[in-house]
Amino acid sequence: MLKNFESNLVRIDKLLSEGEESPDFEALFSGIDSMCDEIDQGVESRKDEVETWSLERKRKEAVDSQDTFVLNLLSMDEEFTIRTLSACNPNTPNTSLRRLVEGANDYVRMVIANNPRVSPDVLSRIAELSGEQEVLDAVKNNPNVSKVTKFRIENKL
Amino acid sequence: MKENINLQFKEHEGQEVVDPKLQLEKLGIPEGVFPEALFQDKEMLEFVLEQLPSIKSSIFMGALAGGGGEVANEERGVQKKTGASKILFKAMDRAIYLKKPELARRVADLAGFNLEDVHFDLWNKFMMTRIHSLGWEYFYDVCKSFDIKEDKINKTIIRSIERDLQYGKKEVIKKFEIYLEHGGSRDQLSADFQDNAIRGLSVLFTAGNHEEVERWGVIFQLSPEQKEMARKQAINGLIKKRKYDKAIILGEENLKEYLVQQFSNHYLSLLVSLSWTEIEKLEKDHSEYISEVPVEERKKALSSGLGSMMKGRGAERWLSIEENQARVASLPDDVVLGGSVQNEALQLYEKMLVDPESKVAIPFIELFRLSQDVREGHLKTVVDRIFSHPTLNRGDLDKLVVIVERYPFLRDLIENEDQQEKILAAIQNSLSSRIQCEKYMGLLKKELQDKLVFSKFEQAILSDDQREFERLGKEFKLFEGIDLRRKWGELKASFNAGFSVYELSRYPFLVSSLINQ
Repeated sequence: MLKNFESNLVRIDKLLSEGEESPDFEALFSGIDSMCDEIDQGVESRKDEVETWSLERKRKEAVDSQDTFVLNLLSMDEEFTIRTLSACNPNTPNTSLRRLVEGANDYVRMVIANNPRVSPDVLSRIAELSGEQEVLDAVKNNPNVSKVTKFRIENKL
Repeated sequence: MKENINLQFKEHEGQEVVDPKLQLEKLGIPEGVFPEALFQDKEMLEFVLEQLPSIKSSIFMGALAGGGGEVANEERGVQKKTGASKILFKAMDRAIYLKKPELARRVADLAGFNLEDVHFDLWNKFMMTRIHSLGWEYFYDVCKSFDIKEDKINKTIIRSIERDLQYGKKEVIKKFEIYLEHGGSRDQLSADFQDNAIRGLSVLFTAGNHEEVERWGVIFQLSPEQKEMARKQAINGLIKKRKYDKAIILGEENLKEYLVQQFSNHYLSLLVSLSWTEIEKLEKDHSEYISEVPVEERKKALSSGLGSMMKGRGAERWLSIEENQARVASLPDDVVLGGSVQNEALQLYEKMLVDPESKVAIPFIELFRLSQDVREGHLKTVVDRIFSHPTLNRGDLDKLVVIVERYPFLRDLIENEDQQEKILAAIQNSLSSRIQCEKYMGLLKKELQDKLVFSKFEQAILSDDQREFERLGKEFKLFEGIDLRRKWGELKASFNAGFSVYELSRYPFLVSSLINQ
């Protein structure tokens, strides 16, 4: 799915370059429009498909999937366990984790802090939001933590 | 009881004389069982009672018991009298043996024995065994003192002679001569007499006692044909006893054909019983006597021997002996590849598959030249047969384990959904030990293995069995980073929050006290 999007975007870039050099702008931009519609439709139908998955399937994908699109969707799932499991998955995008941190409780924040690919700024945000020692320990022990965040935690700043 | 039997009725100085009837009653022999006259004849009474300990206890006890259980009183009385009668008969025999013929006669008269008629068989039985030890003259004297008629005496002697004849006893010639001297006639001899004489002669042939053989033939008037029959019997017996040289000496002159026939039969029976040492000995030392055995017969016998051996219980042990393996391996192909042998081999092979002690399963395949096609075909049949049952047992699982371990390419035989479910059910239902469980896990596809393992963990959580959970953790190397003793409550809480055991084991940090927030 992702590959498909990327190839379409490459094609759009190519079309734009061609458009700048071509006298027939209108035909080209209409081509770009229809391609964007196609992408939107593709995204929507994929989203619908994921939403209709069974709970069991969603749990399995949240744990094992490598598809960032799917993991992003699962990180917003209404089911607590699905959201939490997607936060464990190292393939979940940091943008999804960052969003999840904001509305989550300390348990989910601790889980995100244990994610081996969580970015330093997400870890920093977790440290700002949570006063729980277990959460702070997870942040401190994550190899991605920045020196500043680590210093602040260690010195209770 | 025996100590009591040894009664002393003799008067001793200063001792009270005990009433013998009272003593017998104490032994369970009521009054009236022995004739009253016995108690009137002091010498005879003492003798009878003195002999009681030497009379076989079975007879004596039988006499005392006089029947038991539901036997009616009247009948019991009869039996007691019969028992008493046996005791008296034995006492009479003892008196004869001790060379007291007059006393023996008195006992017989007292007991009312009719030795000429109803008691003759019993008399015959006793006397037949006594003739030799008593001496012939005394034997005849006793018989005369008992008024036994000549024909009856001869009957006893004939029976005794016939018995000795069978065993080729040298003394029988002397007995027979005495028999003839005392007016015995050949006409009185029974039909079995000649057969026994032939049998006895074969014993002498076997022993190589040629002097006696000649005398025997003359005395018992055996025809040349009968003598040849005895010689053949001896040859046959010697070959069976594997005394080949002696048999050859007996038959090489006139019975060469018979020797060849008997050696051939014997050789075939050795092939059937796979007696290799003897087979080799015959082939090496006496090939001229077995050369006429057709090759096909030989193969058939070996094939039959191998077939029966593999049906037997000791087949594995027999095959585990390297010497036997080497011999089987050196047999021509068409001997061991007979249809029935192959079937038996496959059955045994199947049995050995699941026997961890079996040392012959692998050499066996080569030994019986079971081709891969044949083995695979058979294993497919085995698998089909296993899954034809509604449920699988341990033996079935064992077979499947071996099949999969030894022949991984046959794994797809047990991978369809129904079969996998049957295996899963068998493991879940019948196996409590985790080691056993692990042994059979390989039969399942990965996802079913996980299902089985995680269902065990879940079961432990649901039944709040922390120890079992810890043991499972060690066994399957899960939750290794978690101190289960300390974090058991948190683990349960995380499980109750909706995470599965698989998820918790995959991400152990999910086990946290924060879950309770």
